[in-house]
Amino acid sequence: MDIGHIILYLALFSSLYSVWAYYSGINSKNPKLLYYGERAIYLTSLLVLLASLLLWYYFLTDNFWIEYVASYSSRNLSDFYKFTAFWAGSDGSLLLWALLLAGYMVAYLRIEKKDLLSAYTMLVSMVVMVYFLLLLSTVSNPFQGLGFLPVDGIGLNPLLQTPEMVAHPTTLFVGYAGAALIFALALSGVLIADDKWVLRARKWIVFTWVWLTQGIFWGAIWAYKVLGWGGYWAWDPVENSSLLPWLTLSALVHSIMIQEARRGMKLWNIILAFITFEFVILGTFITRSGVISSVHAFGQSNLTPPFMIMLFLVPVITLWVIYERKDYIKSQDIVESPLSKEATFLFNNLILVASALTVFWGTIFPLISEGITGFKVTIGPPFYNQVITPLAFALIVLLGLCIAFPWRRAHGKELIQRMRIPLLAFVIGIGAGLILQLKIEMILATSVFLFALTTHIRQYIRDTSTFKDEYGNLSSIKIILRRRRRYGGYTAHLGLLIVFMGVAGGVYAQTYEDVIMSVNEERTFGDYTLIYRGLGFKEDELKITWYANVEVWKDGRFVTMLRPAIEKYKTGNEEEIRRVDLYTEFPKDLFIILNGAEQNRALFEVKIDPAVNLIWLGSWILTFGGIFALIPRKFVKEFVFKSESGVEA
Amino acid sequence: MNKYIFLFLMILSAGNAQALTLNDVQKDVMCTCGCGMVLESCNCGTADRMRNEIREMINRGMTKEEIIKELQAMYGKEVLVNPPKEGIFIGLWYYPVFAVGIGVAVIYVLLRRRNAEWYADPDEVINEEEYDLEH
Repeated sequence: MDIGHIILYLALFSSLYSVWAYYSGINSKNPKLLYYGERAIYLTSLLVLLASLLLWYYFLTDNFWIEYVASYSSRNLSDFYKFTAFWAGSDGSLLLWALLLAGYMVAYLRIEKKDLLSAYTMLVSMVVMVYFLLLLSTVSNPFQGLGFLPVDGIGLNPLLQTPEMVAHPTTLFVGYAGAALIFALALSGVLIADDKWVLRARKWIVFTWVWLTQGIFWGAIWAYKVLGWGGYWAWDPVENSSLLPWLTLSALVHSIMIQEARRGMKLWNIILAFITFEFVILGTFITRSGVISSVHAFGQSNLTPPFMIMLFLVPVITLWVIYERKDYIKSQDIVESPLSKEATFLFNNLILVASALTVFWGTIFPLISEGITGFKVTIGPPFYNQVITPLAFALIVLLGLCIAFPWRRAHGKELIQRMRIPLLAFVIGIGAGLILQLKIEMILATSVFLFALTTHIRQYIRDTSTFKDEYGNLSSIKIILRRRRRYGGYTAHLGLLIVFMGVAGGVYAQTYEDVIMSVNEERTFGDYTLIYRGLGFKEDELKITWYANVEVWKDGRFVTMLRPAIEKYKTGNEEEIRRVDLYTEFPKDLFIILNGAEQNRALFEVKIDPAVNLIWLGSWILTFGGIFALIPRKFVKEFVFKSESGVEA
Repeated sequence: MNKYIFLFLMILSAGNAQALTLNDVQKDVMCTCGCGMVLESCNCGTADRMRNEIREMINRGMTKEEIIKELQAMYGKEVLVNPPKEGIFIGLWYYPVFAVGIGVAVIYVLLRRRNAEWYADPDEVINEEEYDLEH
């Protein structure tokens, strides 16, 4: 037995002890046992870290005695990708999951107050940890020996040998592990019947949401630049499974505010926390089990039974807790008026959750159809585009409305005043779209975008001026920092609006052409003239590359040389992949794929996406909004309001 | 009122009808090589062959529906990007409408109950927890 496997067993025993200590400590109100439980969390985390470091060491030293290393690495792989091969397969991914969850628990223990809510939260989190350590020490052991030493490893899937693939799984898994902590907090809060959990969970929810946003962003960029089909989102089951928790968590970010303000939505909030965690488990399962065919499914393993048990147990436990605490979570009124921010939050929750359930339904429908008809149907982009598009438009309109509506109730006159400019912007959007002869869908997208954008800009200005009156002569930047959560939210909305326009531009205004070009032939695409200058070839120890030299000219001036390529890898199954090349002129991209070549001709796919870079920009703004809202009070108090008297940070 | 009708008609007329292209069809058809990708995204030999078949059908003047029907006859239901709106597959298409309908009904009930109490502005209440932690 490898030492890594022994370390995993020790971590499992330590986590089991922690669960026992917390459970007994809570029941017997024994602080000593709770202290031991906490120490056991530190020990478990240390052991998981040790196991992870060991696996990294095995990758970097080409230890092909270990089956996992031999399966996902090779001698000619660069050290950087040997490092990232850690999470290329199921076993390493689950270890990464455990490592990140351990990180969350240690951070929680260091940051949060040690009270009953924390004790329960750590207990539930530790149960999740026990589950992952059980998998790691039994069916998904990354330290399983091969029994012989192969000359070389199979190698890393070439599709994973990109910087984007370094960022995508790690960021997404940080988000996934955060969802476990949020679920633990929600379950614990309801168990002890205390609304405090929503206050404590808020920063963890936003933090997790930021990472999920980043995970989706890097996944989209990877699909766009690496998969070689010219898109960033194909409604593939694995892509969907990263979107699902993001949607429900976005709903939770809003609905917990109603619990803070009104003490209502208790049942709904625990359900959202539960669904988010369930989607996270489902996402890990779909990606790692191969149960639904996907271009992104990077594992075929025997994980189905344990994941099915987990997927079954999580709702059972949640329902049991809800039943036990039915008096605490009993229904309460949550609005004073339908014209209020609370009401718009209800609709926003409806749209986000309906979108999540629809995507979920489409993702699992192949399994349902196979079970009933024996025919595993494919659910492709047209289904999602048809059902999600109206929901997305409605969400953007709501984004505008929820900003314009105040908490509690809006008064008719004030509301009309607030909506005047946004409605004007909406009409201008329609007029401009008609003049520019855009597609009807693009006209509507632009109009709702302008509507929501103007409500936000108006509210930025209005709030800053109102708060200025409230706080005396504070500078605008200080006011924004003082109200960082509100402005963080506005900024995240702004990011989402920009992403929306980027997506709309791609869907409704993208141009696309397959073209065969001879050497030195010129072709015009939009504003660009392309000249094919022939094929190049290079070879290294890892792969053979054929690349096309394509000059890009605009307005009679040489702009750049693009080199789309086809790479044939020497390791593994000798995969052949297309490396796209693109020229960016913000916000548009000229995108070229080399699809084949002979001596004097080459087949290209040329696309012009007029707004794709808005998606990347919007994603960063979304992320920034979340981070801004997370700035700790202590920081603002010490560095911003030190000299201000009478102003609380 | 007439102005609004005119504006609406202008919007409708903005979407011009265009001739059928390969892209119109291949985004609604799966590649049959077993890759699980939509034809427009797949670059394998099978995908190239299928594209040629579609081009031929377009040149013969067939409509998109006719082409998809023909491809279904050639390759079976698996070639469809989405299942037909019939039998068990109806559930797929109408489920979102059903989910939204239930949600709207629940919100309607919630919005009729308007005796909520106001505790605190969520912007402020979060500070209390942090203040508590700092002390």
